Amino acid sequence: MNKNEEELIKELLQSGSSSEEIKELLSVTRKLSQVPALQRSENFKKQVAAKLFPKEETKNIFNWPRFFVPALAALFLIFIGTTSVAAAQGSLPGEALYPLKRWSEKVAILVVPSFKNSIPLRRSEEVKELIEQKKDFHLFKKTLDEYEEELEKHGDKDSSSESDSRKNLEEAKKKASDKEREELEETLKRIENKDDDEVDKEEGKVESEKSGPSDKHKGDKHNEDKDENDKD
Amino acid sequence: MASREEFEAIYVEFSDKIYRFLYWRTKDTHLAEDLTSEVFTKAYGSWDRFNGEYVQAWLYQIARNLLVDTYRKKKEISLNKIAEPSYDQELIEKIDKDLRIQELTKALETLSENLKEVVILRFIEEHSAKETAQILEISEVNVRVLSHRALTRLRGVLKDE
Repeated sequence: MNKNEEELIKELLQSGSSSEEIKELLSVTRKLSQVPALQRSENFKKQVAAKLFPKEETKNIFNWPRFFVPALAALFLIFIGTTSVAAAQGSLPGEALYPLKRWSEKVAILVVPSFKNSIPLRRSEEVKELIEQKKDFHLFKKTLDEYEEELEKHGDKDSSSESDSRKNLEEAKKKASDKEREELEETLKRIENKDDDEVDKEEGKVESEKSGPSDKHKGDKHNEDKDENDKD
Repeated sequence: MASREEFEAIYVEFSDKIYRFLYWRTKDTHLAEDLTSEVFTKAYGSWDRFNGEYVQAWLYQIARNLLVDTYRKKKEISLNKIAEPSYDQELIEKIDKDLRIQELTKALETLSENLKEVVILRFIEEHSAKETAQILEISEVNVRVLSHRALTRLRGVLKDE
């Protein structure tokens, strides 16, 4: 007799059932408990469970903790950005990455102001490369003009960077077409003339510092002396 | 939400009991299987809200509510939700062929719904009076009274056969 049967007998006795009745009701419960257990196979249950509760995609990047995704996205963008900027440094006017090169120069100047002194050299390298690769004349001319502008703005005639930039133009002349050579020579001449003007200015300053008043004033003193003598 | 493995274990442990309860209530092996899947799908979805101790009683309650909805036709079981319903064909054949099961099914038909439930839970599934009371959300006293009434009625039906 199991626990449930014991419990039932107690209940029936408490409710005032006769032993005959208790016996009959117990036979009913035994018939009920003898019905075969309806059990689905373990395999079947596992199959159904797999369908009802599908496995999570743990490898899927979008299930990662939320903060990993933005961090990875940022790293990816930085990586793409860095490699693009690096790749852009070798680009020439007219090429797709060239604007990125020029933008990166502006950023570099903000971070390291002295970088601006190397801009003329970079333009001169582009001029030389454009000639060697026989690129469009207008691209060459524009870049040459930009070189001259940059030199005027940021050039330091005593720096090695500037002398290297002139060397680039001199070398470029060797492979240039007649038209290109003409432009290069004119540019170099203008640069030299400007240098000479600056040298003259510098020398003029030094001379005036060494000598006294200027000749103009010496003439006035002579006339004053003459007037004095005339009076006498 | 429960981990998949955790809930799979719950399914493997309790799904047969729920299936049997639903079978005895519906007499339909396929419907019982579909409803069983629905019960566990609902349970899996609301596992976070379950803060009780008695998982079994909770599952039975979901099953009972689902039966009420099905019979009232307020809610049809969305079989689309249950991805490709599966049936244990071996068990279905066994049920169809077993005369004792057929006899009991007929006998249970003579009982009202509440008496049927008490018989299924207390005497076929062999839960205690206390467990039955928890599942049916009635008092133990009520379970005993209903048990006595059900057995008395079944005594007459099974005797005749």
